[in-house]
Amino acid sequence: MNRENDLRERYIYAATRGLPRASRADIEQELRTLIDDLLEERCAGREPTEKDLRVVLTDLGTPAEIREKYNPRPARGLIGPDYYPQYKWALAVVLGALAFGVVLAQVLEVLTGERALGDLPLGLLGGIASGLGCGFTAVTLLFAFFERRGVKLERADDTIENLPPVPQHSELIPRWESIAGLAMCALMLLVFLAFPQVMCAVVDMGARMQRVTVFDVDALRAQWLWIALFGLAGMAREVFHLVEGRYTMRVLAADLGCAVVSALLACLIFLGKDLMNPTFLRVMENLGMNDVVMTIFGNFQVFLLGVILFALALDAVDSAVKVLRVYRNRS
Amino acid sequence: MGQEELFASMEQELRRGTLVLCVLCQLEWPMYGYSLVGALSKKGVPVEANTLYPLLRRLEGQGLLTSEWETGGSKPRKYYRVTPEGREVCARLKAAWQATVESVQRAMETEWEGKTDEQGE
Repeated sequence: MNRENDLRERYIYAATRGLPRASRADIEQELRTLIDDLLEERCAGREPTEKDLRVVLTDLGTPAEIREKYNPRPARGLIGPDYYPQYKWALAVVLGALAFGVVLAQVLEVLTGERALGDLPLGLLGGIASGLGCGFTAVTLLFAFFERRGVKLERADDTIENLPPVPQHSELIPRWESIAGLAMCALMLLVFLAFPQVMCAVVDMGARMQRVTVFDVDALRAQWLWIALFGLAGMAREVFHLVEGRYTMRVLAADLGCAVVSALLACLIFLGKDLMNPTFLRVMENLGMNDVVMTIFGNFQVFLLGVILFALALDAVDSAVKVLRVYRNRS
Repeated sequence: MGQEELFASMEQELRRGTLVLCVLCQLEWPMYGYSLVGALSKKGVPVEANTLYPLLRRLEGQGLLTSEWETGGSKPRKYYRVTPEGREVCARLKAAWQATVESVQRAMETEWEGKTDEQGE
């Protein structure tokens, strides 16, 4: 009865997905026993067939109905019950990363003499408030978009005929990966948009140490729209990973889509305008760096763009390999 | 909505409010979910398993029931039983139910008596 076990386990998996972790295993076992009892009653001694199981599962209700009964929530709002657990996770990660980034950036500014120590408390307050406000808005809008625009989760379509397969361990996207990705995107946005001056070299000018920013801060800030969109594309990818939870064709499509969009945005950022701080390049020349280093710094924008495009390509290939491996193992 | 559908939904509303009381009364002795479905059905209180099981879990979360997995039999079963607090709540619900029945009965009789008075004039 392997097909029947598979169907039963897929039903239970779909019906308990998203339920509170603490009680999920208990509910799974309850449902297993209930399905056995219903089959026993229906079959009255004979061996249950797949048809019997389908009838029993249909009578029990769709997995979505079961989930709703075990975890009833108020009527759908801006972000519905299907997305709410992941929304909370994403919010916690992004806000945590932003708060950490703001504190770090402001402390660095004090240490490098950019900011007076007395200004730190107010600076922290203002930075955290505005950073967290932006982060909250971005994550909420992202999830509201998923909710409203019909970005359906697998479980939103789960009838008996379309049950998702029980994922093997290798199919799962580790939560820590998505969390780390979200945190990196949030930090990148924070640094490039709010504190680009922390990307600097501290140079011994003889009489004193001087901080020289890598980028022309004004030119970089002028690219704020493309930078913000680049960061949001990265965050959208990680949020989708968090929500989907495992490697599927939808994840691959989302990853490839985000990679293309991010690549285009990176080109707009780094090829649209001269972003380098000329003073930084002069300082590098005066330090007598070797030719290779000087070539890199002389074409730093192109070099950085190349690194970003390579990383995006690597990510896309990695995603494709993992997804195709999952589907190959299943067939 | 046709009259049959309307009546069915109203009847369901009427029954829904009494399910907790029926469940608490039945669980003076340990029972597992499916056996409780059968017991309630035999007493004229039909309830679907996918409604009862989450209800049992909710009542347990509220401290009115306690549960224990029995793994000795052919399959593991989760047995529920009423707690002392559940017993107290059950007793109060019974009293409230009795009062409600008497009130509703009076409301039904008053309406009928009122019609008789009008017709008598």
